[in-house]
Amino acid sequence: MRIELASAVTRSWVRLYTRRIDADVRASRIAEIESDLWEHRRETEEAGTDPSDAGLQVLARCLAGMPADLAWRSGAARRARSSRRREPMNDLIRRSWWLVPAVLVGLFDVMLFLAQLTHFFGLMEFEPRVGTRLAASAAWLLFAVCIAAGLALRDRRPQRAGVLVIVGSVPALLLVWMVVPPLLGVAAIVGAIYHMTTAPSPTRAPA
Amino acid sequence: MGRYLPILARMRRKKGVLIPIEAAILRCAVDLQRRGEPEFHGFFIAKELRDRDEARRLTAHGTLYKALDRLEKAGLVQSRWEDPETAASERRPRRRLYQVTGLGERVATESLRVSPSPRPKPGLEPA
Repeated sequence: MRIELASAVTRSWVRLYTRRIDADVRASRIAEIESDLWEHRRETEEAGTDPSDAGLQVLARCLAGMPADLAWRSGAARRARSSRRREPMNDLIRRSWWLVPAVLVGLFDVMLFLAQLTHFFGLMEFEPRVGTRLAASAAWLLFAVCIAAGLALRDRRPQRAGVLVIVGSVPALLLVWMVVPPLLGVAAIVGAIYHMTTAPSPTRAPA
Repeated sequence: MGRYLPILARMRRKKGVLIPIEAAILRCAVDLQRRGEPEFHGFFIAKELRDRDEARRLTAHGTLYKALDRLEKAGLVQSRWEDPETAASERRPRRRLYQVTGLGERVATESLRVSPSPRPKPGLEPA
C-alpha cells in the first residue's frame, strides 16, 4: 500500500472520530496527526524504506490505535458535556436574558394579529376599511414570525437572527401609549444587537 | 461506551496510575531532557520508544496521543504549538511540542525505581 493512500485513510479516520466534539480539540488532534504523518513520511524517505512497507506501517498504526481513539473520543465528548453542564448561571443569564423580552414581544405581535383578525370578522359588516384591517393583521403575523425565526436561528446564524428579532420588535416601539410593549421592544432590540456582536461566528476552526 | 459494555467500566484504570505506555513515554522524555532535548513531538517520541525497545513497529497513533493527552491532563507533561514561522520555513506542518514538568520528572524517577525500563541501546545512555 502506498504511503499516500494510508495517510489519506488515517486522515479520514481522524476526521470521522473527531466529529461533533469541541472544535479546538478536534482541530488540535487533526493538526497533530497531520504533523505525525508528515514526519513519518520524511523519515521513510530519509531511511530509504520501501514506500509500500511504509504505507502498511502507517495503516497499521492507524488501525491499532482505533480502540484508543474511540476511548479518547468518548472522554472528550464526556468532558465537553460536563463543561456545558457546569456553565455558570451568570454566563447563561448574560447570553440569554434578551430571549425573554423577545418572546414577550413576539406574543404581543401574535395578540395584535388575533385582535385585528377578530376585529375584522366581528365588524366585517360595518368596517369600511376591510383591506387595511386585513393588511395590518397580516403584518403583525409577519412580525411575530420574524421573531420566532430569529429565535430559532440564534445559534446557527446570529447575525441573521439579530436582524429578524429587530425587524419583529420595531413595530412594538410605535405603540408608545401602551408603555410596556415598547419597553420590551427596546430590550429585545438591545439584546439582539448584543447577541449579534458577541455570539461566536459558526465558522470552522482553523487547522 | 461503558454503559453498553459493562466490562469496560470494570477495566477502567484508576486515577493516578500510569499504564506501561505512559510510564515509558515519561521515562523516555526524561532521558531526552537529560540528553539536552527538552522538547519532543509525537512522532519523535514514538521513534525513540521504538529504538529503545528495539521494537519493529512505531506506537499506534491513537495509543500514543491518548497517552500524551492523559499525561498532560495529569500535569506530568506540558505542550505548546510550535511557532508557525518555524514550521513554514521548514515547509512542514506545525509540531505540537511536549516537555516533561517537574512533577513528571519525579514520577518518572519513581516509576524507574519500581519497574526499571529496558536497557537503552549503546550511545543512548544519559550523560
